[in-house]
Amino acid sequence: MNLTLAYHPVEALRFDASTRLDGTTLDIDVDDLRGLLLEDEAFEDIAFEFVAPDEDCRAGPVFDIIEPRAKAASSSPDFPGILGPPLTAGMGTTHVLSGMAVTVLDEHAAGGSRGSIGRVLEMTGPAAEGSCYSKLHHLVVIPRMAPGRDGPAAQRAKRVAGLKAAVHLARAVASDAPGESRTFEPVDPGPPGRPGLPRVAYVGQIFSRQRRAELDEPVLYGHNTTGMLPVLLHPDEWLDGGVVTSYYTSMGGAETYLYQNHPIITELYRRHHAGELNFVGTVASIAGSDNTDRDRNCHAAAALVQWALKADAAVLTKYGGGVPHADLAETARLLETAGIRTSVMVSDVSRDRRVESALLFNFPELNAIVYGGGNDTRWQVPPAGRVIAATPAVGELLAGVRELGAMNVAGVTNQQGASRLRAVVY
Amino acid sequence: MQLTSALPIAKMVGSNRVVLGTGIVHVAGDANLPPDEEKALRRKLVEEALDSLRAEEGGAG
Repeated sequence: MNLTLAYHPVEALRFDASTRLDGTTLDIDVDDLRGLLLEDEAFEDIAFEFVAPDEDCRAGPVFDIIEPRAKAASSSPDFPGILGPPLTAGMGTTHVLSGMAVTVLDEHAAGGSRGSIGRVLEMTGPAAEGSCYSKLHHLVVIPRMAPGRDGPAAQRAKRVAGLKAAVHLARAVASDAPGESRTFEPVDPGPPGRPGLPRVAYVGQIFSRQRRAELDEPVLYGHNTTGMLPVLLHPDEWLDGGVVTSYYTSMGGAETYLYQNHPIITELYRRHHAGELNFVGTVASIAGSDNTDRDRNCHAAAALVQWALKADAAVLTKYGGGVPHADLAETARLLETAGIRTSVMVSDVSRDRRVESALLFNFPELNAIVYGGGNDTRWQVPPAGRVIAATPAVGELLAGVRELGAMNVAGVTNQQGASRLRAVVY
Repeated sequence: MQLTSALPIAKMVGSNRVVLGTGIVHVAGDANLPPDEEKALRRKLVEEALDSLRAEEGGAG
């Protein structure tokens, strides 16, 4: 497996009669794109807006954010298991429209821990500084669902539409020479290869069974994760569409953009390339639904890290709220017991700014704990000059927001390590 | 006593009597059962919980 990302920088978006990259300006034929997305009868209509970096703009609630990417010919498929058959992702060349994103809105907030406004795309002001998304150009996709299409059917339609739009845009540059290319050095659990360097694995939860996955909810190669045991994934499978986020990102799930640009995998790759460590692979796991399920998953994940990847060390992240904490900690404890050093990422789930609240475990072996949090951080925000929402009522709600919590701003805090906040206990 | 499906957390906070619930989502019930069977399950769990109060700390639970 050897993935090449071919970057085509985008510095402006423009409505035009055809979709193509003119220098660094992406011309978008939105009528063509609308036609493509309206092939799905779940939508009554779809509107589009452009948003520029640092613009005085707030959009929401965000359903998902995706980096436009399309596979070159004779490479692995685009978002396998969702847009096509579930073949292995991560091979060949992927064309990337860098510096921009496709941002799909919900008609209203999903509720849960993010409250009535859900996650917003905040482009300027103090809250925006905490998010990588405020520095991107956005094609905002605003769906209007057909009557009776709500719940999981609407979520499925929005998931597919966002991915289709992202692939469609990037296909426009599939025969252009990229501005820059990056080929990842092979990651291989097999031969020792790099003597003297620690063998490091990543263990990432991709779902938590504290809620039931929708039947056709695509998470891992289109599978909804029900009944799955921990599975070995090549890091490029995460980066290249083998995994997308769940519909439910309440409690800190990340957007698909942060799977394509996975902070921990890309950092492990950086250190692998710099000769600081030997990145040997990843395990995708889920948090269990009961005690037996947890034990089974934690032991299976730890066994893969120990016996298949033969790792000396592992980085672990969770998905969801408090219960996945226990699965994360138990997996790490099993690894430490086997002599494998671990670093685990947590966040403050109770928002009282006490160090104990970031932890639901107390294992002396787990002494490398990274706080990727910020759930309790809030900002006073100015009124937004421009508001983008699916309905006037939601628009009014967003326009009137005077205070935003970190959980309510896309890209500020999540369980995957994409955060510019840190906590210091003193 | 603590009725829970998160046994590791119960152990870590030092609960001395723990009865395992059905699952993370429905600790003291089971949405897959018909109402009468679920009621019987609930009664069983509550009785186990009460029995555990009579048991020695750290015993079977």
